[in-house]
Amino acid sequence: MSKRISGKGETMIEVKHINKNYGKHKVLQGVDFTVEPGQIVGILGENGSGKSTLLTILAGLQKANSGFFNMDGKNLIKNTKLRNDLVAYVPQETPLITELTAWDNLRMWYSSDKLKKELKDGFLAMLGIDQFIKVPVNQMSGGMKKRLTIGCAINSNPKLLLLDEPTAALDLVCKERIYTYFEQFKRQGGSMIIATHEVQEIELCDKCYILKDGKLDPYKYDGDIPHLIGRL
Amino acid sequence: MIRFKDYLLIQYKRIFKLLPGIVAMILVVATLLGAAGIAIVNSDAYKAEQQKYKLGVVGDTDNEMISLGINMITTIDESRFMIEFVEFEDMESAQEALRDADISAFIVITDEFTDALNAMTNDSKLKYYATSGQKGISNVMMDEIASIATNVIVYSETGICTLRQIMKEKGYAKDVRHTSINDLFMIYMFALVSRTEIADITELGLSDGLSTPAYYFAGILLFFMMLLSFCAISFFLGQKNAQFQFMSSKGITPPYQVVAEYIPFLTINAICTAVTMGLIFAVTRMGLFSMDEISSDQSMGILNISFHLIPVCIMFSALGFMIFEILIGVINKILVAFMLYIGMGYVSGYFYPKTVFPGIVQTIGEHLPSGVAFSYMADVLTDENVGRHLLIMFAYTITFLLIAILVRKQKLK
Repeated sequence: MSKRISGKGETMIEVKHINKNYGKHKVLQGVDFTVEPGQIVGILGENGSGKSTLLTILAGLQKANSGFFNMDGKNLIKNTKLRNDLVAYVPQETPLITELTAWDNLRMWYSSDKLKKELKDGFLAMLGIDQFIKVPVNQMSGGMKKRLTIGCAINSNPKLLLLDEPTAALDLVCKERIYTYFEQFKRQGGSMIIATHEVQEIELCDKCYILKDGKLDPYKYDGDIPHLIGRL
Repeated sequence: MIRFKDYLLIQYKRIFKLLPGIVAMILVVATLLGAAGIAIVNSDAYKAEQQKYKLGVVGDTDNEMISLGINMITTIDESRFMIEFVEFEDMESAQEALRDADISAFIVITDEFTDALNAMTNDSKLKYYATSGQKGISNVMMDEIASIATNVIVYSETGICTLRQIMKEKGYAKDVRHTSINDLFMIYMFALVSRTEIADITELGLSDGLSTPAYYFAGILLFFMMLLSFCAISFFLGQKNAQFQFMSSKGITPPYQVVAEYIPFLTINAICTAVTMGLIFAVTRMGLFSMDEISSDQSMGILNISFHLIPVCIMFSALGFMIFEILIGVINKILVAFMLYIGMGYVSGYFYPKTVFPGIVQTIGEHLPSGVAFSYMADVLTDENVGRHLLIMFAYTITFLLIAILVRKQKLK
């Protein structure tokens, strides 16, 4: 299984002063936070609060009006090739090519040899993708699709996973499988930023932020759901 | 990082999963269209419908020019806008026929008119009679003059092609050749029927100098090629913005996405066009279809046309891609694209000679992608230089793809 290289304690990821406007509407206003290696950061907030916008900016899908996104001191907003290698984005909806099988989808991202190896004893095996490798995507369950999406996303051995509501509408067994993978990814030194509404995912996070009115506030979840709802 | 080639191959894999159904659909539609076309052209109802107006003629028709005109119209004019002249001995019998609705109107050729015609002057008028229930005689004549002009040329098309070919071989320029051919017929028509009080004929009804079979061949084929993009519409279904976002986050940005998806789409359209041309080739080999423009070797001519359809296929595929990229939902895609294609085909003269439209509409029609494709095909069929139209089609293709890329970029947000 691939190892990630950043050492614990070193500030790996810095998100600074991100601003994003849609016309006059200020979606993000001076968003700042840091993520250390092996850390999971949860972004909480109501629907439409800007969580997905933040992730798509970090994934390079749209430009911020201003701000920085650095990893190990390197500016990933300017260096798109480096960002494509170091950052993997898993959107909320299925990004897979539905007419094709799991193998076909994965082959787009992996060489044949690497794919076989990963399916045998790598992250793809951990995600259980080998069990439905020949199944067309349009015949898969939501959980299979999500696992396959993650499998496609991590082909470049990324240091940071951006996950937009990764287990929304999945059953408990599937969620557990994905959480197990998250733990493994974390143990390997990988970091994650998760936009979520799921309590189980919040519990997985090392730190959480609430995104409200375009501003990011730190939040310590202590199991008090009514309090959390009040903050949102 | 994923390479462009990998994404292209995966798109090919996608679209070729749809290929058997697409080809089957093309074969069915093309066969039905062909069968319907042959049935219509050979049906008695179609022939009966061709007789649109009957005009009575009273007076001296022994004059050489008048008899020539009447003979020409009654013997060679078999198009939908045919005018039939019925000769009457006197006005009373003509009036009776008019009252019985056996004729639409009648014309009295006076001695003064005959004298003026012989002198090639323009100082005498024909006398026209029509009932109030009939369409106004002036309108009838306007229509008929246009029809006569069209049909005279339609049934002289072999002569036109021959004349044009001879002039071309003798080294005459394109403009000179067209002008000469037009002038020849204008003189003919003006001498027969076009007196300034009736109408001033400025158009001959031809479209880009093509014969009737070639004109309809080009129009219907190009329209069919636009419709071919529907066959691969399922290629555009099931794609979600998340997919585009995911690809983009992996380095396959919108320009790469669009080009990698456009190429397989173009391939499918090219295959569909090849299948269609194969059917036309078979029909030509069976002798069911021929054109003066490729009279020397019909089969080779069809192959030559097929080769020259490639740029048209490239442009129409880009147009279809752009439309399907912009529109959301299968119903929207089909409905809007179909309406657009019908409109473009209509004003570009696919279904009716564009000379019937006002000047501004003609100009717009000629400059639309469909109009450029038609002019290009006309040049191909008449063996003219196609360079200018190729360049315009290339520019259109690039424009359509750029628009598709912009739309794709918007979908990432």
